[in-house]
Amino acid sequence: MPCRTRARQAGSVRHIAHPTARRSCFVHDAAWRLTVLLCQVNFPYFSKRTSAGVTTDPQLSVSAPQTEAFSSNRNAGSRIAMPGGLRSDRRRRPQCVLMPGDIKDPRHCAAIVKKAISAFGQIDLLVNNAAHQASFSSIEDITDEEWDITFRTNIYHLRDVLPNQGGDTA
Amino acid sequence: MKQGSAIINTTSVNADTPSPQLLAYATTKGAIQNFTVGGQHDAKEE
Repeated sequence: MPCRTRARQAGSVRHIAHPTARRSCFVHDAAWRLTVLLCQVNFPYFSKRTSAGVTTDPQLSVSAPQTEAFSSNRNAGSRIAMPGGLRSDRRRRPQCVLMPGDIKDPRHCAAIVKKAISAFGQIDLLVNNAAHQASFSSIEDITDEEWDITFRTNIYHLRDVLPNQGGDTA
Repeated sequence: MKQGSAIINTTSVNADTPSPQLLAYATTKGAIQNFTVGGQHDAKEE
């Protein structure tokens, strides 16, 4: 599904649906044996990659927004930002698998966990960064649908992507 | 997840100082913060 930015002006309400609101990915770095499950929405790099599949493109794991997101957490960032420093080393190139789907859907959450484990054996680091945000001038302008989308996107997956959900203990 | 693994939940400045224009978003971000802090206990037990 092609990614695109939608923005519409409706009276005083401005709604922006992020182009990549339906994507998640996981990354595995063979050298460090680190599997990272990323639940992403605001990840502009993905807008260039609309197809699902497995790639060894190291840039997928070192794009600016991602390292930016982790730089605030020095402890975790030191591990996750690592692939960026290894870009020139072919043997250490991380693998990346993209899983297009709706992060609001618990079945998709279960599917990406299952696929991450089947592809890489384990999950060492889980990054929940999926979020939907829209601006409204008044509470009354927030529709039921908008409320639902925000909560489902931002909160539900926190629980649904836990690897232990659904009996998987890897 | 094995011992030494980590979960990073992204929250926002809106969790602590919610913007009136981003009420739904800010509400969820506050919830994420609570989920994360509360969930630590569970993670440690395992």
